[in-house]
Amino acid sequence: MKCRKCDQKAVINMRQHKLALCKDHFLSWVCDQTERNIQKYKLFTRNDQILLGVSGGKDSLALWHVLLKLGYQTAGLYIHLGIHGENQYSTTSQQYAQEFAQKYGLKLHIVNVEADFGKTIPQFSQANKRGKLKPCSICGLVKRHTMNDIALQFGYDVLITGHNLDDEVSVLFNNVLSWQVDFLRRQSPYIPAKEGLLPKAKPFCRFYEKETAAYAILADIPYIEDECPFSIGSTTIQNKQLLNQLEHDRPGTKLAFYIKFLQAKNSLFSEDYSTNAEELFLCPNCGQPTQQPGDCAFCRLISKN
Amino acid sequence: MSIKVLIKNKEYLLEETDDLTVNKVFKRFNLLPEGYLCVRNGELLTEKDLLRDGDILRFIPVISGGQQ
Repeated sequence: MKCRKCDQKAVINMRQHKLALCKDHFLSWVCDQTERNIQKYKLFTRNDQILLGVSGGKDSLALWHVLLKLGYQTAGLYIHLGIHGENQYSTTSQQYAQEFAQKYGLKLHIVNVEADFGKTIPQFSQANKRGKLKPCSICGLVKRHTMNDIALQFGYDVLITGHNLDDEVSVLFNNVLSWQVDFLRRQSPYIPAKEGLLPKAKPFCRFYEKETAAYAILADIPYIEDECPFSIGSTTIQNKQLLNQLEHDRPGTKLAFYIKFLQAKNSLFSEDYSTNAEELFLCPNCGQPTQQPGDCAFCRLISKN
Repeated sequence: MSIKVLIKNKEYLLEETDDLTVNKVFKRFNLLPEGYLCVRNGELLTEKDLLRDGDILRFIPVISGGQQ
């Protein structure tokens, strides 16, 4: 199979775009499309100081690489969750993040959950009824709080993550199945700032997971291939497998599901029910916004343990 | 002659390699191409690529999990 843009052999065939590309054209295509996403969704500008959540995986490291090539001002934040397993998951993924930052001379903030908050994520999870059932929800809570906290402390303008289209459609699918209207109206490539909360952006939201992995491999970016041991059997992975089966039978299904949802949002949700409509309170302990008066969920988690 | 296939730290040997494509290997292992990249000596392959005797293929999973 030949590249659509030259005579070289194609290394990837993106059936949803009817586009096969060689290595060089694919690497430039990812950069061009990322820039297009940044402009289309007004995610940030070259004047902004950007803090990227880095996990040591393919998505965040590929995104960091692309933004560096595009000339954006970025720093990374790695959160050591204290997840071990057979592959020393957290320590190994931290090494990948550090090696990348060192290679390209980039600033990487590192937060160690156990050192800073007294317990690892698995320990918080074990000690908490909610966590025993859903360790990923404890992890998400700690990561969201920490990212916002570091971004505020160091004066960043915007928080970004490497979430890809498969992540987005998995969440969308789940929220549609249970008609989680609040979550649906919040799902967006860009979540505007609120008092105490930085804006959040997802520049990779239109790339399939396979494309971000291909970018990392072709750009020679070492990353942790192993998955978090807690994600095995998770709803996210089950949803992704189901959606990949649909995609296999009908190429473009995942992309259309996401893009058409974003287009339909204006019709689905009235203006007074927009993203910024909900009332927020400030946590008296940490000062971060919370949906209910009193301590926020993060501070309640820490104080209970 | 044969083709070696590595999937998630497991190794498999394919003996019948005539007209074997990446797509046929996906089907043989009941894998969806949407969930894996196929790499031969550091080179990414598309599903239509023809394989050769002695090839060593690595199928790299691309699905990651967790919560947003």
